[in-house]
Amino acid sequence: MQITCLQCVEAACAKVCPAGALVRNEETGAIEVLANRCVGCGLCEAACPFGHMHFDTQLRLAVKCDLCGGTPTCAAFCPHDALEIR
Amino acid sequence: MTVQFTIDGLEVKAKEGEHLLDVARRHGIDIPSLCHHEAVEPIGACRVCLVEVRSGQKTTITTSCNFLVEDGIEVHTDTAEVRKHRAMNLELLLARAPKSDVVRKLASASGVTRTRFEPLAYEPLPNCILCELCVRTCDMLGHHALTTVGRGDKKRIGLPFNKPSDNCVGCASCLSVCPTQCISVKDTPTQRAIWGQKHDFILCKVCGAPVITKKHRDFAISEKGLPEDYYDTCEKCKQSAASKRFASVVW
Amino acid sequence: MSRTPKLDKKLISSILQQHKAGDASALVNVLHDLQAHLRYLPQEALEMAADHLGVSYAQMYGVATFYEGFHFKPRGEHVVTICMGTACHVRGAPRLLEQAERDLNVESGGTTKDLMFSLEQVNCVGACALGPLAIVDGTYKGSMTPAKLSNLLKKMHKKGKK
Ligand code: SF4
Ligand code: SF4
Ligand code: FES
Repeated sequence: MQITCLQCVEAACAKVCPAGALVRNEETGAIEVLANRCVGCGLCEAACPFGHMHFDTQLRLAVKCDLCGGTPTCAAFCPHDALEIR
Repeated sequence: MTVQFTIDGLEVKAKEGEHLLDVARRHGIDIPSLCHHEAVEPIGACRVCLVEVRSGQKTTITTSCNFLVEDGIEVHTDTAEVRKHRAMNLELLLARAPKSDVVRKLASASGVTRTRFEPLAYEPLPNCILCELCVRTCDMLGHHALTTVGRGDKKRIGLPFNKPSDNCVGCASCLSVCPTQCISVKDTPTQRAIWGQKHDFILCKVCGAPVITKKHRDFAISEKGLPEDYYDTCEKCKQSAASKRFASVVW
Repeated sequence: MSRTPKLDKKLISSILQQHKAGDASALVNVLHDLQAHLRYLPQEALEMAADHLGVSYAQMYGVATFYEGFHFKPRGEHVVTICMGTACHVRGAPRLLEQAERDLNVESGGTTKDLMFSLEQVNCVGACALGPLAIVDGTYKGSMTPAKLSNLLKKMHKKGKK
């Protein structure tokens, strides 16, 4: 089973980030990576208890699910409408 | 207090104390830059983010990253003067970082493809443009391992006395923020070599994959008051452990 | 006898105590004081000074290397400086420097193995009328000639050996 980001209320990734680059988007409720603030230290990747933070070794930045800005493509693509955004 | 001014004719509002480059970008106006990063204070080192600021009778060419916005100014980001000075600065930077793709791209966008200046590149950071982003970031993170050494054409980025530093935790943030990616970081499955020393990785308790360096973990744990076992497993094993937990609850 | 200045941590502490703890603005003064007593800035002294002033050791080193006047390797008991300003230059300063380099067997900027002499050059000390000029341990010696300089160095060497 794959788990995507839970957009935790007390997000571990945001807690460990020393640069303040992981913040909640109040509109979508998602925790987002501010790419211009991320210093690529890698602390968040292994901090997420669900293993959902990723470190892009090419860009040297943290990347994560941001709910595609409020309209998650994964939900739209699911052939069985098993994914629903509420 | 709010200030109001124009950038390329566009009316914009900003908070007092904000820097011009940030305000411009927020309004979708792109100004090229090399030494700017939102996580640290700007120092105006690369001189690429030039703009023209008109205030009353006075017109100045200035760096936008560290320019504090003022009420009533008129900012132009793409005048002939701006282009001319930026091209010159990029030609100088090209002498420092002849092999950097980022610098070369910016330079050629300004019509500069070669430099008339003596190469100033130095080992072991051959494309370093002395923007000090690495130093500022390392300081911001609380490690204080890096510094500038010397001055003028002999200025370098390095460690005190050129010796491996106890302060460096091997996080490689300095490389992450470096605009020319010129800092050498070599990872093996168990160790990271950076700034003249080798750091042991914590290896995932489940699969043995590298997580972060031991020193980095120790720093983070004491700094953030995290539990000792916080970084014991890698993100993949955390993912699968969490999946199993979820599955056992759902089914 | 070794002339390497032994690192005296007590001395370093007492120098530091003369400056307010946590006062980063005293940084350059502290560097000057340390060098005045130790003749150079050893790593340990910079580390202790950084702690005392509440700045990072890296910053301490960065500031110190910004100035030409600070040294990071042990220096000679006597400092011989040759003025290479324009006026001294045309009156033969290069020959003074060559003479000193030969006599002391060090290059300009270097220190003799026995740590008795450091040889330096400066770009002008503003005493052009006295040129060519050698400055020996802070004393200006005007109208210098290679022969006079050579004699002076020999005398100092003899005295130092005793
Ligand atoms: S790897 Fe070392 S030098 Fe680079 S940012 Fe981290 S602590 Fe600083
Ligand atoms: S190493 Fe990179 S980040 Fe550091 S000063 Fe040089 S170019 Fe800038
Ligand atoms: S980004 Fe402004 S000077 Fe480098």
